Amino acid sequence: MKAGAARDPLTIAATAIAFVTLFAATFPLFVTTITAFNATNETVFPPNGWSLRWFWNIVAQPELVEAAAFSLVLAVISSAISISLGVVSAVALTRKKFPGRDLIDAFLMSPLLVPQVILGLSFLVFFVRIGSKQPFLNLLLLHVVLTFPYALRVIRSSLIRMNPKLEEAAVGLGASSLKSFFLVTFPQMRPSLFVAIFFCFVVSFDNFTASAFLTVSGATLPVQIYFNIESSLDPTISAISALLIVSSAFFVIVADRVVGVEKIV
Amino acid sequence: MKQAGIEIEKITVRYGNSVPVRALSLDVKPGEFVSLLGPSGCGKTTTLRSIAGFSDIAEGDIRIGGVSVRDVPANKRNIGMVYQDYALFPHMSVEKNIGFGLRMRNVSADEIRQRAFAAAEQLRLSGFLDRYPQQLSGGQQQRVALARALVVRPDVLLLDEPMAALDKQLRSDMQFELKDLQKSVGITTVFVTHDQEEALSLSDRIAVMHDGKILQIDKPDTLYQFPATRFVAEFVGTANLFKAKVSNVGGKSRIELDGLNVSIQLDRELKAGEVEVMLRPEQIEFGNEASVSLPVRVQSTVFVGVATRYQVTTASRQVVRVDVSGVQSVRPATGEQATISWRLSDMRIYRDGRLEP
Amino acid sequence: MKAKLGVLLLLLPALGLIAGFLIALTSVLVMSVMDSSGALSLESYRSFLGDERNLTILLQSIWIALYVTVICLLLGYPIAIAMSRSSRTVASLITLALAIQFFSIYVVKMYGWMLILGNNGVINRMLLGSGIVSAPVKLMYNELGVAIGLTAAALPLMVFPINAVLQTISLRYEEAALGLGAGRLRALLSITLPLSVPGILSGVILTFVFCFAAYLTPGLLGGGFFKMIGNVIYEQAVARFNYSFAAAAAVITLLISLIAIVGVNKASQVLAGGRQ
Ligand SMILES: Nc1ncnc2c1ncn2[C@@H]1O[C@H](COP(=O)(O)OP(=O)(O)O)[C@@H](O)[C@H]1O
Ligand SMILES: [Mg+2]
Repeated sequence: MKAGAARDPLTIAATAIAFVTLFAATFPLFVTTITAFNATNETVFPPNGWSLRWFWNIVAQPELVEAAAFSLVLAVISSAISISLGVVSAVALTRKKFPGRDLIDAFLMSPLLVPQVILGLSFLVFFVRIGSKQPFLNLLLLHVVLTFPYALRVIRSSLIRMNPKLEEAAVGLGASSLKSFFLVTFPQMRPSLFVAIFFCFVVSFDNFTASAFLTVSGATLPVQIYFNIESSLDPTISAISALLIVSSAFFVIVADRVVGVEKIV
Repeated sequence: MKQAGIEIEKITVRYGNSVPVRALSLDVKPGEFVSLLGPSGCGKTTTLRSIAGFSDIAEGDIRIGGVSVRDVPANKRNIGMVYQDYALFPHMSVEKNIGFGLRMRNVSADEIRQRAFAAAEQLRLSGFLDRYPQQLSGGQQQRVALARALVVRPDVLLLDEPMAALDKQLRSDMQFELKDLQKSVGITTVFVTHDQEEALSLSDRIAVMHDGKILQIDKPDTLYQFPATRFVAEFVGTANLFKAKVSNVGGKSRIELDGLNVSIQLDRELKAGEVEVMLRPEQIEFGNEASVSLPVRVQSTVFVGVATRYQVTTASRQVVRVDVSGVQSVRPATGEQATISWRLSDMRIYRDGRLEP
Repeated sequence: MKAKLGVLLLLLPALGLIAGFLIALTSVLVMSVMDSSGALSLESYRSFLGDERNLTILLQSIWIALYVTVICLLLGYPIAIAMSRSSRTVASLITLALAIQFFSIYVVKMYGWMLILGNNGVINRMLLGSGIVSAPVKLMYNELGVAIGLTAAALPLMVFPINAVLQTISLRYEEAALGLGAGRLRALLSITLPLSVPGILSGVILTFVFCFAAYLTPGLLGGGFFKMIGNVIYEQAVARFNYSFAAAAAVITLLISLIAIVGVNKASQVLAGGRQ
């Protein structure tokens, strides 16, 4: 069927539109990467000669390196918290029936409905009012709120698809319910955990809009890059961007190999 | 109604490396009801979809009403198709579903209404025209699918396991209804099923498929009584098979069943060698009235309504199934020794899996 | 009973987290109705709505979000069709390309567009180099640049939900339509398109809200010359410490987003008609 449908003119036209559009959408990523190799301090494409100096220049800008380390730590810790919360909440929401379950689910997913600027402003106002002066902890709380709904959604949908009879069968065969969770349910959750980690990490590491409200100092990497772009356009930005583009493409390709790309879109 | 025959000439369908249909030929006469019967995965659906124009044929040709449809796209073939899951459009009412094909043929709104109403009436759907498919029972959905296919007056009707989703009682009701409808409309029909009883009760002829080929095409009774191959014998009905040897002494052939002290004198001449003897359970009876007899022990019995099915074991520990119908009186109990017998003329002999003439 | 209590215990940390978020959200609401001395007042709303510049920015945010949503739908629907209906290899190639674009860092994506659209960018260098124009064409630091950036950033938000729905629509429906005499285009318009409406609606909601409340894209590609409501909120809150005013603008933004979400959902119920 698919083979037959693929050859009809309509699908061919749609595929052509897809290729052209996606070429246009990914072309800037390509250009960015190439401009990182400029020989002069003009960020132009095609480059005026080739060099690697802008990559070395990243290290010469301590605020970029610090921001990268900060974002990495933030993403790892917030993802770890969100995933743990996500597993526990998903199990509670899926395995037990109780009144108001859908309401609680909607409640827990509600951060996704709120635009990022408003999320950012909310936390700014909130922290100002309670007088919190802990930039890292403030950002951590924000990022857990940002990433938790993704963790919950991914893990919960995998639990819903799972056959609850399997865990029952394990209990029927003499396993305790905790044991049957770890021996039967948990192994089946692994692909979804992978997807959840991927999502949480990317959502946290990539977040600009909400985070920008909380980082007057101690910037995350996207915020730092934004400020650098606003102040000057030298190819160092292209160099750090190129590293980010290559590594996120790498992680998407790894995810495609591990769970299939259709699971992460 | 104009009746069109279908001639399929040596078609082959390929999907990458798999070849679900291999040089398959089949003639369906105008107005005839032919079933494609075979195990799951043998290529029945693919064959049907080739007729409809959804599977591209790599080789061969298909003619409908004498005209090649090789280069005719599916939407121009004027075919009525009913899917196993019916594929009723979920966002359209029953009336819109039934009228869809007419709308695509740019029939006037008035006539669409009229013909949809008439089709609904014929299939006892008049009260459901405003409903949506998901508000109907399985049987009703199936009738909508039939109405939708027939209302455009197609040249041929193709049905892909349309009964599979129905429960047993409804299925047998729908079988009668389908058969009546098909005869009254007189439409050439190809019906795909893996259910042999369904095929036997509905079809003018049955084509038994295996591995992308048709093994035998015949009337239901011929197919049942004279299966051309051992595979057909086992797939259609229940077959008891005995390994045996043919020997020729002085122009006469004898068959000896392996491991059993039974020697059967045949009334015709066969080549010497290894063969298999096939018997239907209802052709075997208890007692030694018939020409060939064999001692057995009764292992178990199951009551199946019209008959009682016995499982008996021979001296060589082979299990033989015997059906005893209500009129027969000899009924040994489980564990008892008994004698089974059968008539020479009921025996079918297979050499290398093919029926000996 | 004991099981119920256990569930509650398991959910408690998450409930606490999201409750914290809602408290933070409420503090915006509270802040928006307070004046600088902390007394209850609608001053911030009055000064936001009373200033024509703010209203212009609000309206042009709605307008750009609307037409970028339409562009994303027109480009995104064919992409989703290609992802769900073309051969496996082509489909996964498209999906992979879209995923790589989607998961690359947002600020980096927009930076890339600056390198394309700027005065010294790829397009202008090409135009100047081939002599078509003598002075750089203004492609960014205006509405055009913001619209291009928003389209690029929001496109996956449109494609993914439509693709998800298309994947679940059995190909049998289209095939049945063809068998009944429909051409490819008619099968698409009368069967596939109506069945994919739920995906279109969620794509439209995601895209519209994302664009309407955008801050990063107008910040970089608008460069202060084309502002959106997100820029107003950020400037007022972070640069001017005018929290009350920013909060009022945020509440208005949130309200418009919610109206859009509810409106689209209502529209979907009307479209679904008697089916439910
Ligand atoms: N679109 C397809 N692509 C690849 N292989 C297919 C496709 N359709 C069917 N096949 C293969 O062809 C064989 C026959 O399938 P089918 O005609 O559906 O069998 P049946 O209807 O008899 O169960 C199966 O092995 C199936 O896997
Ligand atoms: Mg089939």
